[in-house]
Amino acid sequence: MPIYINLDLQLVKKKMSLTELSERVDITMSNLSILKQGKAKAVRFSTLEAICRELECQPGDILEYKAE
Amino acid sequence: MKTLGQYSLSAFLKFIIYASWYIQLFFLVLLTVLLTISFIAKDNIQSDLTVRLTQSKPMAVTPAPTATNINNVTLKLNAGELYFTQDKSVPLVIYNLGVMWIGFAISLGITNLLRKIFDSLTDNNPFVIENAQRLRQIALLIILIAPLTFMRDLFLNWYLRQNFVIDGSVIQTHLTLDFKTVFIGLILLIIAEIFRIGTRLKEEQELTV
Repeated sequence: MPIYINLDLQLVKKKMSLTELSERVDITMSNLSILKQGKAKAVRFSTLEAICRELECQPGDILEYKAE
Repeated sequence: MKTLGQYSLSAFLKFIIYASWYIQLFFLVLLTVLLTISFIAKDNIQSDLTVRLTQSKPMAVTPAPTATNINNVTLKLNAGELYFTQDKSVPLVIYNLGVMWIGFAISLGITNLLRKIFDSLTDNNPFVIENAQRLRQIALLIILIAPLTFMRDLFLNWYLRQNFVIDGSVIQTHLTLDFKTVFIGLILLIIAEIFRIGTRLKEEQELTV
């Protein structure tokens, strides 16, 4: 899929674990894992907003487009 | 009333389908054995054909001049059944066993696919791609019934004309194609496609974060 999720990078910058992020944004670990592994087919704006709020970043820092 | 999951309507129907599966297998084996023994043990075979008559007046049905080894012909007007005995032959055995096996194969095929579908319903997981494929296969098997029945009737009509005469005259036969069965099969094909779309939507929903 041409859209890549750079969640790991932002988590490292904020020194936060995936488990802690999951608790803060109230999304299950399984859903966050799906997102992190690039298996998600869609992301809700509410989810994106929550992640950006907790990681103090922009959507473009999480989502990256690379043509295949 | 719960329709999916354990102790639901689908669980009850699953029990009936499983029972039907084993009963059909039992009868397939039993009838094959009985027919085979019957063909081996007897010199002639008692047969009966269900016929639809266009006239209700009494009529005399006798073997045709071209008939081979047909005896004891009786037409039961009220029941629409023609009884006769025939010397056994390999083609007769093959025809009878073949018709029976093909009928059971289609029925067992449909029952087996229904078993798997209802397994998923009692697991509360109906929208899987395999169910869409199974519904499609059931639809194709149902559609297949019509041409197979037509071919069997085509053969039986020829057999009647070759071996019997009514009041000394050749029997006039008619053929119809079972459009109702084909229609049901086509509707099920549409339902299978709807199921496939539903499965895709469910997958997208599950993978939406």
